[in-house]
Amino acid sequence: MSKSLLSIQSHVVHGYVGGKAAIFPLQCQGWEVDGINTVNFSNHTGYGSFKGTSLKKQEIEDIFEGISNIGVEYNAIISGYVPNEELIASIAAYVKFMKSSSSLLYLLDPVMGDQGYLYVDKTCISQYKKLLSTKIVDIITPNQFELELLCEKKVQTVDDLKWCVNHIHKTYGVKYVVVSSLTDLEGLQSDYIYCATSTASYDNSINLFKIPIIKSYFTGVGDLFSALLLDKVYSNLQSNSYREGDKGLLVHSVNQVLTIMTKTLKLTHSLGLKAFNNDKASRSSSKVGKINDGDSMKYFELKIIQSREFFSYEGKGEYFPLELDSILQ
Amino acid sequence: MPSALSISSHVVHGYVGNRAMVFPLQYAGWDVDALNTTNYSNHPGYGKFKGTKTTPDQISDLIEGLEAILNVKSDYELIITGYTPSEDALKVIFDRVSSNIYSSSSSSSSSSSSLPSSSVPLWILDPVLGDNGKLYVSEGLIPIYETILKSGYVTLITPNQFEFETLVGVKIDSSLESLKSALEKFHDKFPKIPNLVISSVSIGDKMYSVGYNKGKAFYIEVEEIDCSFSGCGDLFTALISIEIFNDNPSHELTPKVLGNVLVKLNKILQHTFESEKVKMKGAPFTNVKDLSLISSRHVLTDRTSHEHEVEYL
Repeated sequence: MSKSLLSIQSHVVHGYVGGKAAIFPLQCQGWEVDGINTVNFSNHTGYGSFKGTSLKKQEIEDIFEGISNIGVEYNAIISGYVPNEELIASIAAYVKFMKSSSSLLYLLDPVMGDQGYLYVDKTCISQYKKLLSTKIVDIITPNQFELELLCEKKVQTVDDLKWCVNHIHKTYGVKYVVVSSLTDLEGLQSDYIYCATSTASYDNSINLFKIPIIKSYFTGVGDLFSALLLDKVYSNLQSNSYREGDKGLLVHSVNQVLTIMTKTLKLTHSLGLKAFNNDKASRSSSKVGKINDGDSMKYFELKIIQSREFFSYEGKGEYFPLELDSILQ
Repeated sequence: MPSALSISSHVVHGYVGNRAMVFPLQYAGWDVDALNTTNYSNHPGYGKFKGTKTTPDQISDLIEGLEAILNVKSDYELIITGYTPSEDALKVIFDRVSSNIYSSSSSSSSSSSSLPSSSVPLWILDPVLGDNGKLYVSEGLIPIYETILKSGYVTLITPNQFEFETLVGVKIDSSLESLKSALEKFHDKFPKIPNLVISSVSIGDKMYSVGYNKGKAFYIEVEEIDCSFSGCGDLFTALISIEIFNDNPSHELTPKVLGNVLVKLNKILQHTFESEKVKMKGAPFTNVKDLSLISSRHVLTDRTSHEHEVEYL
């Protein structure tokens, strides 16, 4: 059965972030993906230089009007990088309108920054809160920093994390919360990245996945993660393995996604190193992707195309979900 | 892994322009850099659409952005250009592509219009002008396309019959003789284009796909489906691009290349046609707005070669 999705995120001509990291994997999984490009850049900003433009408010509203005029419907909507609050407001209005007449699944990746560094307008924070307060979001995938921004609270301890996740469930009615990367939390080993999942109505029961760090600077990882998560949650629901709101649904889906991500990142790393070493013309001395170093950056673009066969993974997942409370004993 | 730069239109919904080209190439294993010449909600075949054209300045900026981070001469195996909405946009693309990819870096006195060496990307160009006797871009694009076709930089063009006739200035009147003389005129006018495909030409009461490689012309009968498909020409260009690199080191347009493309195209169109029948629940239709590209994706990775009856002109 065909399934359709609207992806609202950035477009880069070269490289794999935003829509370029999300759309192809979804298409490979059989999704008819419509794509709204919130920005149209030559490449991602990690290269140190880029050219291009952002969509204007009038333009995105025209696009929404255009697709509404021809009666397009979706089973799911995913939104990622949106550079300013005006566009967020337009997206909120459109998703709300679409949800009023269908049971579509909306995944919000509130892309704002990482590791204490904000890369959208500051005003986006309050606009995302506004969007959330209309209770249209089914799945949210902030990283640690974004969770802190949305909850106006530093996440330093397990109790902070619990409070914030609970806050998102209770205040905004979000069923599924996935904190895609936690890197800095008291009591957790620092050589790992952690991914936390929580399903509404299972109070304070957070599962943690512990992921070894690959020492390289990848971009687009969060965008691929969100796309894969939407696909897995949707298809695990469709296959009737889980009912909506089951705790197992999110844990299982995230485990599958992390398994695919690990394969993709390993392949990206090994192909990147190989290309880097083969390319004698390269004058860069850095062996891992490094911000603002265009020479090495291009070797470590996600190998989205080469990872095609990973996306259909339907196994149990290669990670072990841990109870947050037990991991700290 | 091969890389391509594909310059064509973007629509949010549906499969025309880059939306019909990028996915097939990606699924066949290509890294595709997509430069969008429009940003429309959907294609005009719906009767209404919203959105904007990418301005010539924006296109120029995007290419400049790429030049800053890539070696555009050696990082791409292939440049594909398709729908370009305005004269200025096409001029900018030609200026940028010719000066940064195909001009020789040394200030040599040798002919600047010699065929590109093997180290530079192939340029496959779909001169999108119109169809069935109607232009859907400004007339001013025609002379610019002519200039590009005379530059010696383009390896293969994929016009439809109307575009071919418009560019060459001839009519093909449904006979083999007129096809033959049209191709001769093509060669006289654009001697530097080594490869040409016209996806379908009606000869007598049959449809043929016509290929041309360095003076040799051939044609293969195509199965007709009584329906038109938006984005079909763009998909055809993508399939040709894939196949011309598929176990074909010379990258010449051979009957085998064209034959394999026709098999794939037919499978995708048939699947689209059948899907539309189901969707329309028996109601008649003569045009399908959206190719069923995603659900026929398995066709794209098929590497088997097919035997075809090929006739030479």
